[in-house]
Amino acid sequence: MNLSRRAALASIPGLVLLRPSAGRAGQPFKPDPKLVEAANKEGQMVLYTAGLTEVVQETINVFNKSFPGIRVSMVRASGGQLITRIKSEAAAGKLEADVIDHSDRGQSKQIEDLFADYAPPNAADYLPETLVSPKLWPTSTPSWCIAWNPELIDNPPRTWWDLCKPAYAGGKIGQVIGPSGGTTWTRIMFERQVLGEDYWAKQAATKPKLYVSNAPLCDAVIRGEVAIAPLLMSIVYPKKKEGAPIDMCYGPEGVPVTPYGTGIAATSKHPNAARLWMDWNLSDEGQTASIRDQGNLTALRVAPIPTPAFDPAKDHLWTPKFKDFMDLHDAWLEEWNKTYGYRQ
Amino acid sequence: MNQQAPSLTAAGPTGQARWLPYAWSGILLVILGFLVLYPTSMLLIGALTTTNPVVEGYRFADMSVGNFIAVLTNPHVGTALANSLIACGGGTALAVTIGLGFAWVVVRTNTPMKGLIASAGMLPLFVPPLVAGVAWAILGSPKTGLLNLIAAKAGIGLRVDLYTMPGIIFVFGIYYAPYVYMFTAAALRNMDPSLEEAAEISGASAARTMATVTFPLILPAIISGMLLSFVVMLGIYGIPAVLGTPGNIPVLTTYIFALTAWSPPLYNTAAAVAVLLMIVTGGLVWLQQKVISGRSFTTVAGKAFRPRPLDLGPWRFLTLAIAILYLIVVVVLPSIALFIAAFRKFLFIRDIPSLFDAKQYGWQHFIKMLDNPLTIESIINSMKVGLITAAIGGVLAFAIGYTVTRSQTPWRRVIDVVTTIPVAIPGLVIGVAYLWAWIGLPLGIYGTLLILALAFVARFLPDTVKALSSSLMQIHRELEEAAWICGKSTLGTIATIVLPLARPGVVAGMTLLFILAIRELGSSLFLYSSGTMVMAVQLLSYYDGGNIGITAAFSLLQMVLLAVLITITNRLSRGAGPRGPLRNG
Repeated sequence: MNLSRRAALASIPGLVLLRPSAGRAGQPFKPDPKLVEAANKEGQMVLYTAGLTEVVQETINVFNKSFPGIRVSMVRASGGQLITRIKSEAAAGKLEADVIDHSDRGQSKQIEDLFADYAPPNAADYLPETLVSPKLWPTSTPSWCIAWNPELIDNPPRTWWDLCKPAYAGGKIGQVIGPSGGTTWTRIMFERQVLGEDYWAKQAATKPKLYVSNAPLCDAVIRGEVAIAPLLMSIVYPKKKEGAPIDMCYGPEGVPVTPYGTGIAATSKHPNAARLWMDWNLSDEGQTASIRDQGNLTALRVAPIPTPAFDPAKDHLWTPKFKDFMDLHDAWLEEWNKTYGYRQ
Repeated sequence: MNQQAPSLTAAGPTGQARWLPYAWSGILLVILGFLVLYPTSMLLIGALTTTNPVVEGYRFADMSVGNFIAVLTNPHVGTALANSLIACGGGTALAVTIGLGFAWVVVRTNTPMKGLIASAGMLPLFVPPLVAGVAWAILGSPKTGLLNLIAAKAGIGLRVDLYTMPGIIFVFGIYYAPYVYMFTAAALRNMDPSLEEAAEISGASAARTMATVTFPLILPAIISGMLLSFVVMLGIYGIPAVLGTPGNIPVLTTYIFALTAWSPPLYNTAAAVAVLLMIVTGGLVWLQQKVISGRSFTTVAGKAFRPRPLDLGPWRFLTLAIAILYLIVVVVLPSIALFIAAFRKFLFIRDIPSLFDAKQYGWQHFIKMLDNPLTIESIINSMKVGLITAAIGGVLAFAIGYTVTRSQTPWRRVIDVVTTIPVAIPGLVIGVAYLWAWIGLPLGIYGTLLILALAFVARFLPDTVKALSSSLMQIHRELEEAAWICGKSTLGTIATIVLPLARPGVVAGMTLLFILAIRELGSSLFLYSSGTMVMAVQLLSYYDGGNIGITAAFSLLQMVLLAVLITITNRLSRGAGPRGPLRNG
């Protein structure tokens, strides 16, 4: 697929093509001293997250450099398990979370009443297309890239369509299963809505190996179990920085992104610490850390620093319309499962 | 078992009140109702509805068998069930062969270095299934496996592929052999060797003695170990997840895990699959009862004995060689794989020289692991919860085991059946059932270590009771009768006769409970809170994070911790072994 076709696709109704973000000097985070004092007085908060432990812990570490008096305790679970826990705890009046962080905005939206009203000081800086509720904010914006092991692949794929090439067939490619969660659902929507109705069938014809989530697949690429995989940049980038045998690029047809739906629990026992955490995460400083350390993109109108591997001149972000995100979910996933022979 | 249950009859050996046995059974049933029946009923309700019973509530009028119909008509469930039965059946056969042979070599023969073999042979028990899967994937992956790398370098054409059904069976078999070993070794230790001596005097060969006297006498232990291995394998997620996924071999646990992890999760369907699993396991438990009923397995009587190991002559070196080969396969190879993974920066191994390139190795994964405050916190919490579980579970299991196997207390069959129920429920599903059942408990125990311990006690009660019952069944009633004649009460008899004789079994049961509690993932996933992170959940977090290095480093740390603790309990157990004074009495 060439750029002119991309441009044509961009004009299709129903697609949301985000404006590419360009780097600028980020503003330092200057919270209200009264909020900091109140948060320090609370001294702790509980974060429920579907993010990866290591990634979230790294964010906590950076936050604690500025706010060492606040202990952030993490409860981490996969998306589905986290939602079940939240719903059950809330129904019993025992929701422990101060902040809930979920990759599937649809799931967060369904429990919207459990979140408190909240908006960060820089709310106006956020792209409205990425917001699905006034209570939920995109603290992280992971993006999908094409990754490969350079020790195994001399001629790496450079486009999403390259992943359909017979040369990469026979188990060289790994794929995260469609029902894995919000991020994967976004990517497979992108494949069908942007690349075409026939993309899944052509890609599935290469007989990719299926993995339950991103992280084990990334590990499989590094180990050489598979050579190529569509992966979240936030998983690939830290490994690349550490020197792992993995390389990546963004597909020129578009960069699927999944803005998180994060909010403060209505029953938060540490509302000031929670607010400070959210304010910091959503600030230029917090987003800078997310971009710099994890290779994430940002839902800010203008990125505070250039995003790794992302070229605003040729790469463009893509996120699905939220209505499609919700309405197409079950039927399309069933089709994906059938196309890829995934047993559900 | 045809022995007459002697104690705690309605009249009682010391003429205790007639209501006492009823009160005792009532107390046990109330405890079991809370620990087992209530969560199980929540699971059944979940399977019969399409809602979260805690959130949306439930009405009996809305219940239907829709989930069951959906599950039973789904061909993928049938495939997963068939794969589970094949993998666990094959794995059990291998585990029994290895575990029984190993127990015989260690307990009944004069094979050299038995102590070392016995200790090292238990090591697989300390390895979390997820880590076992990862270790063997590193060794036996068809593309990147170390064994294949070495074989290619050595010019050997043979290739290992563990991403297959035989691969899963192999890893199941070698990792669950210690379960069979624990049961059968304890039984062999407690067995009066005069029975074997009689066979030998009658001219039977060592092999014939073993086949016709030794093994039939410890049949309850063999069957218990076999059943336990099978049902534990049925509930294991880590090994089939790591080895089965690349080869597209789904089993019930990986299917259930997927149902709970998908977004949105399908817990009600998962509960229906779990009920199916319960039916399969329930059938097996019934079969076990049928097989061992109507036979006597009493081997510990009032007569003194001094066990004499079988002299294998020069053949003892063959048994030693086999034992060492087993240890290399089960302990050394996966440990090497884990060491490499824990110390190597990245697990891409281009060739043999790269494997030995010192620049590729370092402490980075350990540093990163210890830098995370949750690591130490999870270790401390796991140790605490393991001890609480072993203490509460040990007492409860002994009480139930004694009541069921050695008394005529009313409702003891009901107690036995209720105790067995949790064995049939996969951990991932029972975890959410505990959450649904116990989240509303008063006194604020939700979010504490106690609620985790209670879940573990309930979940592993069948395993612990079975472990204890095997020991209890071997104690002849004449010993208790002698105590009653001397005027001892039931409790006095238990304290001075039964408990000391059953001590190896009690310690083994509590040790097993401790290990299982520390490794338990399924029920922990839903009951841990921000302050009660445990090792199994932390390990899954590291694995989910795609960092095999930290996962391996954390696994090694766990293995060392557990090995130290097991050594201590082994010493305690040995103190009550064959040389103990009561044994000779």
